Amino acid sequence: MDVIRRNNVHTYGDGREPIVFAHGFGCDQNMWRFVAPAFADSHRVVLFDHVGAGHSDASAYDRRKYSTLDGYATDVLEICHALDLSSVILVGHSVSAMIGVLAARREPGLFKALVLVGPSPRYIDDDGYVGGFSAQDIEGLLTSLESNYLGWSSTMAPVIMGNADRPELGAELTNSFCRTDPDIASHFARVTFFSDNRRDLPAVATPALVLQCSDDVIAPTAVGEYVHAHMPASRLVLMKATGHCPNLSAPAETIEAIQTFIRSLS
Amino acid sequence: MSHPDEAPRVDAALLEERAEELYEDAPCGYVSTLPDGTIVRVNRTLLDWVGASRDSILSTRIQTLLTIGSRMYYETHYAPLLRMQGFVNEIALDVVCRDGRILPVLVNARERRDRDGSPLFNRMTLFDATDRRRYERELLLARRKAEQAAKDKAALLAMLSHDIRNPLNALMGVVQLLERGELSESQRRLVRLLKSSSDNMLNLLNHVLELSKAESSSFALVETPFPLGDVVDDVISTFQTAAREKGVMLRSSVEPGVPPFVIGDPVAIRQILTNLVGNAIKFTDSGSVALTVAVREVATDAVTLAIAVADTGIGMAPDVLDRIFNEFTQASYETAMRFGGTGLGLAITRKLLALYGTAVTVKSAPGEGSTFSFDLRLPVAPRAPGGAPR
Repeated sequence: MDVIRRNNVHTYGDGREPIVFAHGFGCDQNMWRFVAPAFADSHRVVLFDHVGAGHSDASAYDRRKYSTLDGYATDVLEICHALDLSSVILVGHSVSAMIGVLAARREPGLFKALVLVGPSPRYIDDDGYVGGFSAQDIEGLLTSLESNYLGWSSTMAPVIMGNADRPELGAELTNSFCRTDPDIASHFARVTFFSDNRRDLPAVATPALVLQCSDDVIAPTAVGEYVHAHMPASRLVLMKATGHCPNLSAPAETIEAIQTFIRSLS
Repeated sequence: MSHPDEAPRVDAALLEERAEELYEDAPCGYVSTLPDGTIVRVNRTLLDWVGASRDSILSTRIQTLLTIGSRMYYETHYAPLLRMQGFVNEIALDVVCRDGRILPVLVNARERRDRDGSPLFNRMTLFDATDRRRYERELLLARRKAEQAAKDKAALLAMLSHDIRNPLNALMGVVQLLERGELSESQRRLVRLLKSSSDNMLNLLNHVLELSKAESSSFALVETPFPLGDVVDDVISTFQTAAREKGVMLRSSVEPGVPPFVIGDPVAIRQILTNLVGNAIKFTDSGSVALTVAVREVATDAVTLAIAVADTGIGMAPDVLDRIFNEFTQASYETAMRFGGTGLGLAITRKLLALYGTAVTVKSAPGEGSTFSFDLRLPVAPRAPGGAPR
């Protein structure tokens, strides 16, 4: 199987040390466009789409494999091996932060460091644990997804698909970035928001940076603090940026935090 | 009389006031926010919808007006999309009104940027989507119900067919035993009738089972190297006796350029050819039936074949052509009475070909015969199974 094609892997940059950017739920590798280029001089930048997102090979989507985040972690490891990477710095946004934790747990020797942007090991509140959501809230998101894909999939999909090679044609008509198969998106949402990876945190000794936004409804500050408290070699940076996507809303602050962290490693 | 210079000023003031009114009382909600969602301007329409005063809404974030599900969608889809492409169209969100009512809206938004491309503020237009959302829900429910009903029907058919096939096999065994015994001529005629009826029934059941198999989501085509020429020969020899009995000439031709081994599902392809050739013979009383395989296009590792079954039979009128691929549909009741059959063969053929991403086209006219043809793209097997080069 061609991993590079399956995950639509792109690499660039002049450096030797690899930095792999993993996108979160709801988007694709495009969401690193304001951050990744800042590492091109110093690193080998690796970008990819999770299977089912962006321009990945959706036919590789196997419901059983991707019924847990571990399936996605397997893909991350396969990408690293296919590119023959070592001493990897993995930058994971949102759900990919936990996918990164799972990958580092399975092959600790492969990773030099983890950058966890807006991580959450469990989104749903539990006895004494505040994840920020109830199971009912997650169903609300699934309904919201459905409402949006109703319009997208039935009326706009042919327009989008017909212009897959020339997205600028579709761009005027619809939302051309981060498009994805509706069924896969719903499944990914379920797998993401019903996941519980709290036990994996203490098992990862890889140096990790937790980038926590202010006022992030998806991953509240208490959750970032929990991740930091349970990962032995982690540090926490509370960002000025608000929302869940500092890589888009505050790229300069995000780049600065990652670079400072990388410098501190050597 | 007013001074000539004053007139334009009055008009400008009027225009300005009207623009303000247009903004405030537009049939849609308008909100301007900072990039982080903080509301800096909002029109009266939206305030009325939400049931909030201007003061209570300004300086709060737009996200706080949404249901939790919509807020998650906002953070994971809407905000990234808007930042990346500078606009979003027709995003479905749910606003929580002050009285607790949920207002479904469709949102269009534009991001205003400075000269360096940094975001300055966002302008959102919100449309009341209450009716549209209700229709969408109803459509969705109707689709789910229809899909479930179709699944239930297929499952029931498959189960019934299985359950009927078992006693039928016993019946057919008994008929075979009877045939061997000493029978009078009239008894022999009755046994023949029993035999042909039970054969027909088994054929029908097998078709129903094949169709429900092809319909089930778990059905997948096998990919294995096989000799296409042999499959064609098999199909032809299966029908040779029936054709000869009717006085119909049955022949096949495989173009020399067709690769000896292709990769595909030999069982499915045999089924397709069997259905088409069987039909052709059934509906042809004199003349010929021809199965041809030609090369349409050759790529590096695959070949597109043009496969056709042409007959000189009764043919069909254009309005009939539209119906024949539907399940349980034959050209007419009279056709079914005269020619027998299940009316499932073409439905199965269509489903199997759809799995190959292709479809049958039919050329036909009453009294002038029919030609069923389709293109089939298959990978070429470099050598025969077992490794011997061909």
